[in-house]
Amino acid sequence: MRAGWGLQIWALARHVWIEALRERFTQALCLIGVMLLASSMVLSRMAMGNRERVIQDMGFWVIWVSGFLGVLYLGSSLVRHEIQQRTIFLILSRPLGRSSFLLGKYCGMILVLATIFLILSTSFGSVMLLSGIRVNAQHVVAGLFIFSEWIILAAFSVFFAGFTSPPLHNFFLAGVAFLGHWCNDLRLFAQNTESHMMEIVLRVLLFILPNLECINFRGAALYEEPIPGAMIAGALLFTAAWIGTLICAAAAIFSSRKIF
Amino acid sequence: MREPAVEWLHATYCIRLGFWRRKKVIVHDLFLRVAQGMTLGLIGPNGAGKTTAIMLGTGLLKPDLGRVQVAGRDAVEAASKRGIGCLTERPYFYPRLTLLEWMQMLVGLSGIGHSEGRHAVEKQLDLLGLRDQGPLQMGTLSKGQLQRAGLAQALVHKPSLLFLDEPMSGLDPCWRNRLLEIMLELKRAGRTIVFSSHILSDVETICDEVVLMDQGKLRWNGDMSAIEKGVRVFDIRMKAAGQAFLSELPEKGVLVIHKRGDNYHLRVQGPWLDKILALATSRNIRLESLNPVYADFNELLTRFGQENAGNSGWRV
Repeated sequence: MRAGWGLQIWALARHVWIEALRERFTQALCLIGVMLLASSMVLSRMAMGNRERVIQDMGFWVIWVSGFLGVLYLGSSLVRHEIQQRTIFLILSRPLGRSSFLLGKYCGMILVLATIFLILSTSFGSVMLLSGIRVNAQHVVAGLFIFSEWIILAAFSVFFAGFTSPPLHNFFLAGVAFLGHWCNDLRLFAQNTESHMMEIVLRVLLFILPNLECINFRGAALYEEPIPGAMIAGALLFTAAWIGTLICAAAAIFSSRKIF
Repeated sequence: MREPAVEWLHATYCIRLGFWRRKKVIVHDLFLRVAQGMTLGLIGPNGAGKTTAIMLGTGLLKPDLGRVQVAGRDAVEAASKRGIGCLTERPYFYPRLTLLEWMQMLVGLSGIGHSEGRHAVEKQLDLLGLRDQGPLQMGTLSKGQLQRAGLAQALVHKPSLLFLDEPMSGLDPCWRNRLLEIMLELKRAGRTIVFSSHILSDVETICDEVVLMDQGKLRWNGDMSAIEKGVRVFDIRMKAAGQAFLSELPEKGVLVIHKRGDNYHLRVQGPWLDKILALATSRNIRLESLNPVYADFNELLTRFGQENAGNSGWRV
């Protein structure tokens, strides 16, 4: 019995996942992340005052940075490596479109990121419990939306990987990740600047960049502030919209591209 | 007339090179039809465009001009690839995947379910003597094993159309013979095979039709049976007392290869055969053997090379 498209995507995603987990970079990333999380217990003792806040701040930061580095590494070799090694021929010689190829790779990236997230978030939870910090619902929401930020960045990565070289991919992705968190500041700056040209540039930037602060609930977790359901729904919609748009755009660009 | 399995309809493929992105034509206006069940051999010097022609056929590359169709469909379409098996020039693999994982991935990409796929993978690994290598990571396999693994993945989903780019490359003589047998079995089973090779005896053994390519162009396309029917010369062994009869032979058209005592070994061109036979009857010469020598493939290539020496400089 022949199964369909879902099976093809799963086959490709599974191979990306197995390969990535056998790579030293991924193993080192997880190991260093866990060590940094563990070290926050020691570092927090050196801090003046709020020890709990240092552990939580550092934990969220370590998880976010590990995911960002993971996306950067996986994404830069995602398509280029396949083309350089010509392994893409092997995959595209099967009844699989180029858009399905990208989707399979993206799903594989999500699997790898989910594995990294599971390891790091479990370690973070353990560190918090060992330090006597109560894990609340806001922590879970904040953690899950760090993961959703990773998968938005992974979608950007797939989009850039379809038409740029690895250095440019890394440059653009870092730009999106950092400017995405400064969107609120950029909006304020655009409103207050006297230069018309600067205002246009900033508004264009605000239009093309995702406002990653929309899905940042780390502050709420830190101060145990309640997160309204509408805000979570909005954040989910934001994540789905950006991923959908980027994957469609990546598929359109990559499908029309001449590989060799 | 059988339906074409694959057809290159005036297909041209170019790449762009260097800083100024200058255009280089790799395959030029290729027009070729391969009927279902036929075995076609692509031959030519390095850089002739054989690999690109195969990649166009598999739909991995899209022609800049013209079309390539598989069973009447555009070769680039994903649906056209369902019945295609492809062995690329170099075996492309993922070094960190085991052979089994790699095969299961490719089976999955062909849209075959898990249990059916596992059975198909085991069968192909058995056929190509790779069962013991299944759990090994592909980076640890030898060149010959990778080549066999490449063939296993090309056959695993039972394709009706096979593109094999230099399938014998890297194989030891034993596996080369085994692969020839497998290809002949596939041919008997009615599969369409398009393959390129530098080993002309393999081409001669398997192919129904041959395409000669040079500098991206199709130079000659012919039926193997037509080539074999063309008798070039006759090989004659005879026993004659004395050398007097030699003076009666024409200077051109008859070649004395060697003479040992009364035994003569001659090569005679067709038009002079009757004269030789008449001479043998009248001079009491004993004819020991008379064999037609067919124009072989090497000779065809040599002749082709000489005819085109001015244009391409190709020598075989």
